[in-house]
Amino acid sequence: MDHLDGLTERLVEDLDRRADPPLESSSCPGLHLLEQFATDRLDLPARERVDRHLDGCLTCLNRFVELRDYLQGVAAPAPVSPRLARHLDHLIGRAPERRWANRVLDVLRRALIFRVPAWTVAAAAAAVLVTWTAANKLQGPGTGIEWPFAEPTDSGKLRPAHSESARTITGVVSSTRDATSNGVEAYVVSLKDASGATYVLFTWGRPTVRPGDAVEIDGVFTGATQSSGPPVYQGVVTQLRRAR
Amino acid sequence: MASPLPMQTLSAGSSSVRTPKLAAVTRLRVLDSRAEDGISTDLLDLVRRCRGGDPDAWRALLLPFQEVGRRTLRSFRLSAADLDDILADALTALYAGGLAQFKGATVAELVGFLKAIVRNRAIDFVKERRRGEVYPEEPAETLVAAAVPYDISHGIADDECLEFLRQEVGKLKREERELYLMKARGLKEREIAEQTGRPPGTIASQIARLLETLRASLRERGC
Repeated sequence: MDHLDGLTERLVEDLDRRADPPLESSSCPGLHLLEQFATDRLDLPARERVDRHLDGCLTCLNRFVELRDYLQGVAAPAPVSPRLARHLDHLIGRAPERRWANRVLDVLRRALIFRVPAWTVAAAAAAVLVTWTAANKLQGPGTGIEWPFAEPTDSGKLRPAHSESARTITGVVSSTRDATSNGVEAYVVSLKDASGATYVLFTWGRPTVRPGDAVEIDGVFTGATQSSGPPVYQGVVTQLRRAR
Repeated sequence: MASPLPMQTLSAGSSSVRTPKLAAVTRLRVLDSRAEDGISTDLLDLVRRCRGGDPDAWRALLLPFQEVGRRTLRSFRLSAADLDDILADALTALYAGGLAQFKGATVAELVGFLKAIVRNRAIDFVKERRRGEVYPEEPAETLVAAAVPYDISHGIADDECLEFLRQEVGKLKREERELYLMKARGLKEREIAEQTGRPPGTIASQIARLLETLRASLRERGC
């Protein structure tokens, strides 16, 4: 900074200081008049008056130059600094505007998803949990599946069929009993094989065999109860055909 | 965001300096959320909307605020990051209720109000920074030199030189005076060219000649 720069800085400071108190009381034009002059909103006589004053008053010319510079900036602003824009967004409390691609995705997502209120989801989850717990209690130890026919053994209840194996037996039908329940057509077929073992088998639909018919049956069987007499097997028929 | 207004030239101001027409200054084109395209919104109406808490008005006000702020901070010679920090600080003050204090009715008054807010923040910022600075221990010679009584004649000479410069500037043509003041206020040659409507090259050479003339006068005077 040379001497001229230093003196210039002091001169501008001094001119700014002189312009600080309101000049409206003096012969100097006020800020509003200078603004009108800068924005060309004065009639000709007023404009000439202000112009003449600026010719002879360095303080007012300095003020006018400064005001014109500010007004020029306001009229033709540069792009906003991204940092400042983010700061304003933060102040406003809104997230910054997202890119257009994100906005399109958001619109699509909103259009496609099935919107269910959170409380509905919570209620449904609670209902499933209660149902599951209740079912578990009901099927706890000592309870079992109720079969639609009389218990042929002294074991009390049938064991689950999935724990047993599938096999094919041949025998003679001794009886068929209707076990239709709740609209489900079912029958219980009893038969004896050549060894004298009895089979009590559950079957869906009306059987095409009659007592005395020799049959071959594919089925899933539970374990036999070995009592003093011949064994009794229970099971579910998967295929039933007449024996050749 | 607002699109810059087209620059026009007119003889507002000096009869010899072609200054841009600024009649559109009070009518800013801002993007309003209520319309598909930009609409003209009065700057003072924008301020009223900001006071009402309209976020879009605040976004639109950010442009003129930034311009006023940057111009105010020219003389502080700060980095871009510091400048943004000060403007952000001033913006927070305005958003937190500072703008409600504005009682003016003209754009010039609004400019003055924003300028004062930014300037005060900048002074606080500079003071705070100086307080945090650690100065190295000064050597004994410096302290001895500082102890020598201040030669008051230097101050008087400087004041005389300042008065002489004021007179010399007063003798310049109106066009040159305006150029000198614009340069002194920290305007870049590009900005001066925009405001005067003349090529930057012409401005640069005019300013160089002008400053050389003033330097020669000061030398001749013994300043």
